[in-house]
Amino acid sequence: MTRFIDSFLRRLDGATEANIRSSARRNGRRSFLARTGLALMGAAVSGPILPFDRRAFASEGGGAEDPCSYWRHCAIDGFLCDQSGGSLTTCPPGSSVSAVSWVGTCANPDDNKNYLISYNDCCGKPFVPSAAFCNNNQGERPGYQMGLYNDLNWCTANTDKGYHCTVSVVVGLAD
Amino acid sequence: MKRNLLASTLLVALAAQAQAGNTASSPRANYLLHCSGCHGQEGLGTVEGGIPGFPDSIEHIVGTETGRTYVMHVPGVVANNMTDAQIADVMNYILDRWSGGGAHFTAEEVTRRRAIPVGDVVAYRREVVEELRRSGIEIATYPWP
Amino acid sequence: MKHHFILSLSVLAASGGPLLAQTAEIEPETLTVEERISEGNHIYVMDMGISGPSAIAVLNADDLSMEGNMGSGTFSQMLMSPGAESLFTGSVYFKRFTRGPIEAVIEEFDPTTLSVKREIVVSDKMAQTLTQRGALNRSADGNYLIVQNATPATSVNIVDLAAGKDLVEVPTPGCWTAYPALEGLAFTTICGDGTIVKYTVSADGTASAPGRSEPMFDADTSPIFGNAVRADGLLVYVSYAGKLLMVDDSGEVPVLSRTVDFAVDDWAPGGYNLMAYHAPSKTLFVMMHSGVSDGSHKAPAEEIWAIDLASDKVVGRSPAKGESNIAVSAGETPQLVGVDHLGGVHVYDVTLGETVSLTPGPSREGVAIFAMMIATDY
Repeated sequence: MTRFIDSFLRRLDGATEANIRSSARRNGRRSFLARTGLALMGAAVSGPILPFDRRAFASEGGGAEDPCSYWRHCAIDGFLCDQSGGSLTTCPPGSSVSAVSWVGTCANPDDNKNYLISYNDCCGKPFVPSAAFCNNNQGERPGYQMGLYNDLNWCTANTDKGYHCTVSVVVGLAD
Repeated sequence: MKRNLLASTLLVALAAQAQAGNTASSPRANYLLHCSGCHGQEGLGTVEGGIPGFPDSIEHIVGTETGRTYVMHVPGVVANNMTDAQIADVMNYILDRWSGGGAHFTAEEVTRRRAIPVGDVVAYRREVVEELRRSGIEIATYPWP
Repeated sequence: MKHHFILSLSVLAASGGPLLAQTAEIEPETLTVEERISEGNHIYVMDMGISGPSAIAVLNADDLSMEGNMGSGTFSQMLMSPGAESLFTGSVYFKRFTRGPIEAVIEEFDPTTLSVKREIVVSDKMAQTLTQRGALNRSADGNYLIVQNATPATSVNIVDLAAGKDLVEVPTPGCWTAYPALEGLAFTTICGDGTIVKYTVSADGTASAPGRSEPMFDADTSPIFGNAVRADGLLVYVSYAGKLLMVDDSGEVPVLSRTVDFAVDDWAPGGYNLMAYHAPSKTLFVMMHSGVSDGSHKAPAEEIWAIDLASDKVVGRSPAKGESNIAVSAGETPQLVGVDHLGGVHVYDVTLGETVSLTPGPSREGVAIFAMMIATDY
């Protein structure tokens, strides 16, 4: 099925399969691609083609239109809350903010300053399969530096521990 | 064109990142980077998460000899590349925010206490708790009391 | 799927009349359950559940045909026992799926019948983390499981398999992963101060004081992956930059036995369960990517490198297919199995010798949604 999607993308935007695959490598997406694939299968049959445009842009090496390449997301690993009913700094309705989080340092290309970003999970709901799944890892470390680790369910310290989505909140300047 | 722009943006970002490493400059920034993930931006920790909070607790801990050594050996302090002066600054930031200030650390004290081998930091904490308890003081909840 | 369903419905409708007329004359089919998977070699692929159950797909190693699966809870860990006698999972069941109380469970499966042999409810501090080798292991004597906890405060839970319950929780603040020692009930963990620390636990549940090594790495400037493999009596860790740390964990305090700097130019290791060791040939396989930058340490594999741990030299570089996790089978002529970010499983035949090369075999797309760890029964 992935092969089908890749060839479909090629037809659509002239991207090569190699490009798509290398963009997947660069962006390190996991299930996002598979999920997009599922959505695309439906779209190809029934009409409007919406959900895969992120990947098409990503094949050019990122860009403002690729939500995962937005500068704040430099160490995000999860589904974007702003595509799950929340925003960059709000959790979707009815969810709860994770009591613990991991923190990244991201450079804002507009002012070349480094900002500290708190990647809180929003908790207590299922994930939203149509939301982009991003997997960026600048400054990420394994669990021996727990506050910099992103392969953990950060809803684990909440009463409602289900992983919903992830926000990228600017909490300070690193410089 | 777009690609070139992106590439150069990426280079700038990477250069800045390499410079910054995983250590920030201001005490507050280092607190956010090295401590806040678990202890929280408000220093409250989480009982469910097994992370002790600072209010009504850190002021008592740094009031004892063993306590001052203990805090130099907690995960957030030992697992980063801050200088001893930066560690002192972060500790003092924590003390100013959550213990009413005072009992500050100097870089020299940090250096001295970090050199003291504590072996099992969990067992060492129990000594701190015992000593404070004899004075009628209870500190923050800890998963292995 | 839907299409097929509709298609088959229409076929049924078209042929419904004649079929009905013949029903009296045919032997009705009976419904049974397959008793077990096929004889031969199999590949077990963890599809880790985030909002629900995890599934371990079981594929025939010859043609990657689907033979069934096993189900566990959310954020499942996986451990195949030596000889493939049991497959253990450790996972968390959310009573309301996404909210409220949870229960952490160890399940022991028969990897041939894919049925549950037993389950043990354990401490619900079990780490809810991506499936990784350092999170669920078994003691050398086989009597205990060693489970990584994280609330996110970290500790290690020792589960007594004979008693069917927790023996003790060993606090390991600031440390991550727990790899079993080759003798006794002991484990080794990576700590944020750059040390490797060993704990020994006695049968009554008393844990030793931590045996802390000299610093072996710097978490900020030369971090190591959590993924380690056992090779020739040593624990082998790998740094983000491509250096092996060969750790002797046989004494009370782990000791750095030797290091192997194997990365060149602009290449570095990347992925999740990113190393696999083939003991008979002393060959370590590592997933590698080029264009290294801060944060590229989980990049899928462009090549898979083979390192001979007798000579400490890279003896092979083979093209990869974007894998994020690999495993290698145990026999004299091994196969390497990888899974990519899209859940595609790829098998390679390994040619051993002066140089080691991988020859692509069958691939199968879409086996898993959140593909993580791989195990084999051969």
